[in-house]
Amino acid sequence: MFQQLFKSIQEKVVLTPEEMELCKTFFIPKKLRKKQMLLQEGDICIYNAFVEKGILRSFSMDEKGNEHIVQFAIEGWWITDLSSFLTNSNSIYTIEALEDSELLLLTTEAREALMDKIPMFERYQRLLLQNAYIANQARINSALTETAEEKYTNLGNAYPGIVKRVPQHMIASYLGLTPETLSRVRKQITNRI
Amino acid sequence: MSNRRTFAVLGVSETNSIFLVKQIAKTNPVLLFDHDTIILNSVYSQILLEHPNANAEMMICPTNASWEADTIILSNIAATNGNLIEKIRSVATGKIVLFLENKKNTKTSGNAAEKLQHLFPFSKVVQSFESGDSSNDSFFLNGNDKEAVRTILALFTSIGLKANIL
Repeated sequence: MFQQLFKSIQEKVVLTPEEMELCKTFFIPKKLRKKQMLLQEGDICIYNAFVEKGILRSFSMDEKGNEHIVQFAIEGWWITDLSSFLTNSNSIYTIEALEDSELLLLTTEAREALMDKIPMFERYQRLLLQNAYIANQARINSALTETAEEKYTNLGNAYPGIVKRVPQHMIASYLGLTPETLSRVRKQITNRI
Repeated sequence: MSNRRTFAVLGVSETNSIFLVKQIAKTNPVLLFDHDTIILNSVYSQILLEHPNANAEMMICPTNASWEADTIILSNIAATNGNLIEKIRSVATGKIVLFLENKKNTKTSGNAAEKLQHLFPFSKVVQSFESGDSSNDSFFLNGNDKEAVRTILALFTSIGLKANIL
């Protein structure tokens, strides 16, 4: 149940076996079925979720009902609305399972207590935030400067697991493209091969 | 988070459990488990007969039911089943475990809730038992985690039950 979490943690910091056992007592194990929601837009996000198994997406919806996907999370990734989670404000995002998923949920209180009891966990969290910030910068740069084909190709190279597991219209939404544009881009790539 | 909390009800053969699960199923998803499959089928059918739109499901495994749930409800029998408790303990961490103690029939001592909290050290155990008046919709609530007790109070009130915190 904690295999992916400890793999993620041990890639960045070292925990003792005692600290790992203690760590387990702070996480809420939760199974979500496909299409079940972890967070609904307008609610306060009380969990930071680690994905042990499955895949989730977070998205916002515009006035016309169009979904705009801001993040996917596969095994070994975290997903939350950080602003809502840290400031106790209403979320503008919905988080939904795209497959049957197994999560480990961390509340704000548990996160604080865990960082207090295990200083290495605080370092782990800091490194995660650092990486998330870098990834966000790259995503902004991609949105501003890359062509549709570059966006799709780069996503596929960086995260092949996501492109294979997620429906194409969701990939299009994540890249800020229409499904038609993405379909045309994929055809162009296929014809070139 | 999603306001539709999922409830696992383990041991649906007791009067308290049946009554409560029918009320909860009106508004929330419920996952039902009982070792007696005939009773389980019967309760499931009753729920759907009374509330055709209820989101109820029969589960064959208490671990999966509890893993998927946000709140775990244990009947008097389930709470004294060591094998069942062992199966769900690791997936109950951080969750509310509502113990429906049947004062009229129980042979357990008064500190049953404390014993249960000892068995679920990382869960929030809330004890519920009938207040003793003639109706079966009035309960007392007790537990160490005050927020969890208030959550169950809000749940009971929202489904039309009378409850008081001890």
